[in-house]
Amino acid sequence: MPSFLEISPGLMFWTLVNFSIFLVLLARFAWKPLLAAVEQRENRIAEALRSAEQARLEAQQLLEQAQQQLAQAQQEVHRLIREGKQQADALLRQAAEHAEALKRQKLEEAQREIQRQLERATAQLYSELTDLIVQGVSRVLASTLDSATHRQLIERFLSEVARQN
Amino acid sequence: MSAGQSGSGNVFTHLLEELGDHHGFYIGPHKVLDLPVILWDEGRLHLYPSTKAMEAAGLYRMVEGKIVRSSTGAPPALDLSITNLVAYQWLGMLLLGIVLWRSVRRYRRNPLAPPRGLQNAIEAIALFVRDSIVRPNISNERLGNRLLPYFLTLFFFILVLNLLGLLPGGHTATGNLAVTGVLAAIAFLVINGGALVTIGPKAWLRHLLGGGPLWLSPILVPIEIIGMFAKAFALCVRLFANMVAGHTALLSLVGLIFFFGTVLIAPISVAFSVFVYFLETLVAFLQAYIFTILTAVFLGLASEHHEH
Repeated sequence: MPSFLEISPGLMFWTLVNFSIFLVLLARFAWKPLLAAVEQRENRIAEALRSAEQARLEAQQLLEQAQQQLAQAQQEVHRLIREGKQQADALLRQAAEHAEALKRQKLEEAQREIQRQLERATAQLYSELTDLIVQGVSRVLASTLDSATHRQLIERFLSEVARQN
Repeated sequence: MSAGQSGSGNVFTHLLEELGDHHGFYIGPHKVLDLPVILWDEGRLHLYPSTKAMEAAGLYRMVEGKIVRSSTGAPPALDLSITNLVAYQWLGMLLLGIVLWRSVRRYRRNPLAPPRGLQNAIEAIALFVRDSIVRPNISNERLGNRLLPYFLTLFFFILVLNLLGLLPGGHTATGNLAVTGVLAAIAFLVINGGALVTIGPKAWLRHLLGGGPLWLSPILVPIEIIGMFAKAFALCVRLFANMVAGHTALLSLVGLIFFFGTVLIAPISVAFSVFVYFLETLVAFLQAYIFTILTAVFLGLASEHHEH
């Protein structure tokens, strides 16, 4: 039998001893810290991935919020502009109405004034005309009639004329 | 080697003798260190610092590399000497211990730092053992985690001994039936012990039925029992045979030169032995992997509750 096929009890004994000691030492001083560190790192990576995902979700939420706010602000601006325009329009219209009313009032006043002046002038004209006619007629008639009677006559006549006018 | 002078017909057997265990530490065929001799004989322990000291003491002497009693020529009851392969185991453990110590120191200092250098290699292999060997095969997570240090140690132990045997002049401790036998025996205990603890004796005994009906038990139970031992036996022989086969091929190829007594054969021998050497490097990793994963598979199968 070649020597490499021999099974030596001594070698078996030492292999058992060596492997057992090796196992105990490595388990305690090598694999325990190694596996613990690896697990710790794995946990941390998983944690980091999880928190990154969370941060991404939060950022998306914030973005959506900001977009919403922006849209709201734009709506608000549009509304303000529209309202401003409406107010301006109303003011303008009011001012125009006011001006129109003022104009009409002035016009009426002027018309009234003109009417008044016209009436006064007419009255004055009649009065002076009456005097002139009285003078003229009295010159023609040379006091055939007392002036008071004539005057009454003429005035009546004139008021008829005025009524016809 | 002095093999050539001992006759060409002898060269292979002489070379193959190198694959066995020796007293003393050898690099290649050269004895570089005398190792202590420990004998248990006639009811008492005999301790000698070296074979020379033993021979000088006179009670025992060396005959063809073996220790025999000077008086009767019979071997001692138990030879517990530190032999070459024990020394290679120690060397492997020492090297691996240093590498692991340096790696683990970094974990202690900063457990969250990314691994560097050797630490990275160790971690990659360790995680491979954890994620590709133990976890997929052992469904019981608690059992897997508890036995993970065993599988890691087993893998690294076999791997470092395989690789030490590939160094020029190195001897392969895993190429010895005593070594692989003990590793297989431990695997046997782990497989059946783990199964017993996990699923309890009742389920473990039911596994012996192999899923067959009760009336078949006279056939199935012996087969299952043989199977249990056959698994361990196969583990033992597979690792041993793979490691020895590569070395035998290498030595035979080199031996051809001496066998034919011509250098003309040398180019062929060298080309083929380089090829075999690469193959052996692959086999060194492969066999460490196979031994470990088969142990895990057997344990996984034995520790599962399943309805047959």
